[in-house]
Amino acid sequence: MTQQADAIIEVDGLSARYGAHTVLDGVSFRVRRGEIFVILGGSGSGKSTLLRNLVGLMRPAAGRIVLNSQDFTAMDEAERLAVRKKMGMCFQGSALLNSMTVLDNVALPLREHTRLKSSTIDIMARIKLELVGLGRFGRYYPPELSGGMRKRAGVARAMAMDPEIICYDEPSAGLDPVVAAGVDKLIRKMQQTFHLTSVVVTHELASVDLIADTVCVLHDGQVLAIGPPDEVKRSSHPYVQQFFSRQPEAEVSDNNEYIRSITQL
Amino acid sequence: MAIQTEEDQGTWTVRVSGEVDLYSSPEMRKAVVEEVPASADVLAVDLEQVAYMDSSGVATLVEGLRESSSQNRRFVLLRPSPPVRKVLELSRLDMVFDIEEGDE
Repeated sequence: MTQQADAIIEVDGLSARYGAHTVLDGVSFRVRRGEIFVILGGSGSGKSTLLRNLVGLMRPAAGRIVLNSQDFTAMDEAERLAVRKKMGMCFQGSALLNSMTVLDNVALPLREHTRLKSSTIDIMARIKLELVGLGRFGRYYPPELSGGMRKRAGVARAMAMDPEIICYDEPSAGLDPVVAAGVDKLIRKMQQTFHLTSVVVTHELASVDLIADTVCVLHDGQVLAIGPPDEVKRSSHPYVQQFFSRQPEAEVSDNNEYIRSITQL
Repeated sequence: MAIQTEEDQGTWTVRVSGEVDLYSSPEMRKAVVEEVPASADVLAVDLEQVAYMDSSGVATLVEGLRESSSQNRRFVLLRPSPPVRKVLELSRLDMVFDIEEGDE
């Protein structure tokens, strides 16, 4: 299959647990090189845990992740670190350090992980800020920027090491729809310009239409539907339908469980 | 990445081949910034054989340009390969450099 042939990320039977609680249960998918792969899911669907496994911040309980034909899950820490340097991560809250200028925030990964001269790093950080439209804001501190600008700065920092893969955790969270659309446009621009494989975790339906090449709908730790947006929207799965038509979840309460938990107190 | 340098009649030529990335850029920096003979009035960086260049390579070329300007030395890029051209254009720095396409 061509999709397998040019897969840059392959996830097979991935499971993750926090204690006895299973958060991901046998998740499998493939991400093609250069595409925008959107993982769509509601709160508690396991999408952030999935992202943490992908970028190596967590080790899975079962299953494997293959990056560039190398088994990421079987690597030792030194090998994993080398692979992680080729992955950019854009955190939900941007995770910028408020005590540093925007330029120094972007330069930080380069100062930490390379032996490049400070003057070279400075130019690289300026190139990255210009790419995200913040060329004039290098001297500002993160609290002096708007929410949308901080997201852009977070993208510039994720791009600092010239990654092959970039992951975004809820890139439009907390932004108004106009600013959120601007961030989506930036994600598309980065992907088109650098042929950058992009994994976007979101609960925003608007982002699916704007940026997704492939959508993967995650619910209760399982993949319910996967494919091009139009195909996924036509899925007959009740939860997928419910998600796309924004119907509220029915209140689920196990009465026996409730009574038991109260009476045992 | 491999680097070859030669000085001929006031021209310091740096031939770069292979992949210029975060880990090899410091070596290219030596050749285009640190080791340029004071007698050279032209610094030519031959990029025809470069298979890949990331933003650290571009930043290093910018440093070479800056340093050369401060020494009143001409800085020229020779025959940049398509991957080099692409990264120069992406960073919108293709207009900053003196680029020569012809034979030496």
